[in-house]
Amino acid sequence: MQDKLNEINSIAGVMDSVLVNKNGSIVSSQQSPFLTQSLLESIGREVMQLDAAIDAAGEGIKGFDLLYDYGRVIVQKGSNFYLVVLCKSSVDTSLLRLTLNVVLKDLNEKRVSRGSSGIRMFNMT
Amino acid sequence: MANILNGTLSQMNLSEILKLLMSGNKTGKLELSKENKKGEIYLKDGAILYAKWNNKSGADALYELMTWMNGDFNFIPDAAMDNIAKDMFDMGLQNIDEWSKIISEEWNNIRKIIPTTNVVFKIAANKTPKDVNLRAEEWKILANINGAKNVEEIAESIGFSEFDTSRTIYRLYKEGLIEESEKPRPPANELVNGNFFHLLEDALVKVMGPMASIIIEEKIGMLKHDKNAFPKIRLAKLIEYISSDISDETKRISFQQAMLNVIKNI
Repeated sequence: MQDKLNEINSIAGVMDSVLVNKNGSIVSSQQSPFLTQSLLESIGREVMQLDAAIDAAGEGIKGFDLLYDYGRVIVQKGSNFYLVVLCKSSVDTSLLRLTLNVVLKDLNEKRVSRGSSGIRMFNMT
Repeated sequence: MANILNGTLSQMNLSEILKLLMSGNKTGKLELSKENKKGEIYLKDGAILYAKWNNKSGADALYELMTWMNGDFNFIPDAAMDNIAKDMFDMGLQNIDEWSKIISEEWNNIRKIIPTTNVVFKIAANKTPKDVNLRAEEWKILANINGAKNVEEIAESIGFSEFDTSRTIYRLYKEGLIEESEKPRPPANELVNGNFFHLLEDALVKVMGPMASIIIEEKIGMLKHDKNAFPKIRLAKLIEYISSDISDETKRISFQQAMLNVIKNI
């Protein structure tokens, strides 16, 4: 899964990419030191809101392209997850869209499972 | 000795872990690891007594460990503190909260300039800063800024933490000495050769049949370019235009995958 995110991140203008499940939990990320807990949580929250918006809009919507002063956030809907890409305005959007189509197909086939919570074990003794 | 708590710092940061252990009056050793690097924090009855990281110990080491945004943690309860005589301290929850706040604010500022450690900087060509005094560590980092190495690679090559490196780069950026360098993109005037269009036609024939060459000509015309002088930078757009005529989704993605491989290799 990580190799797919690396493929996206290798495109000029892409800052980072994250896989989020529909509960807003991060399934996979590059674990960049700048993707802090609060930023990851805010991505999770945004995605949950977008999930509700996509459900309300119907089947035709496959994602969102959110434009900000400092860049854009592209959210693509997968079978049971969202792929969130943080990029600069200068990104080659055609190349990014082609890559996302291919990566999404691969990830859909792998059926991304539920994300880990980060804490793998907590057995008080 | 049973582990009671372990996980990754990207999901639960160090200050949260420490607060959890301190409020539970825990005694033991918290190990932190990232790639091949390892740090240690010792607690006794919920107070932090000692920390070790790289060649630092005591409060300096603890502060640096608190700047980690990724890595693994593992708490070993009741682990003994062997051979520790110096740099011991007694830190409570309030200090952890204060440090955590300072570090978090500093990261937030840095992140506006350096959103990931993949960012590459170069010496600012068009800016002439006034007199600038550099400290030794700033000069060391500036000497490594060459438009090719990213922040992570610079930190690695000079043995600084990612936080210290990022903090210094942030200062150099604010002083106007450096600017962000784009990842290499094909120059706008770079053209593809005829071989690309043979590969494109072969791939399209497989999904569209004999109409392939007509579709390619039509889409090149829509982009207002010529087959004999087609810019590399517009290839993805051309593939996207052509793909819009392939109605079968499986065939469309298979075509896009094939052409992405071609684009990467030209």
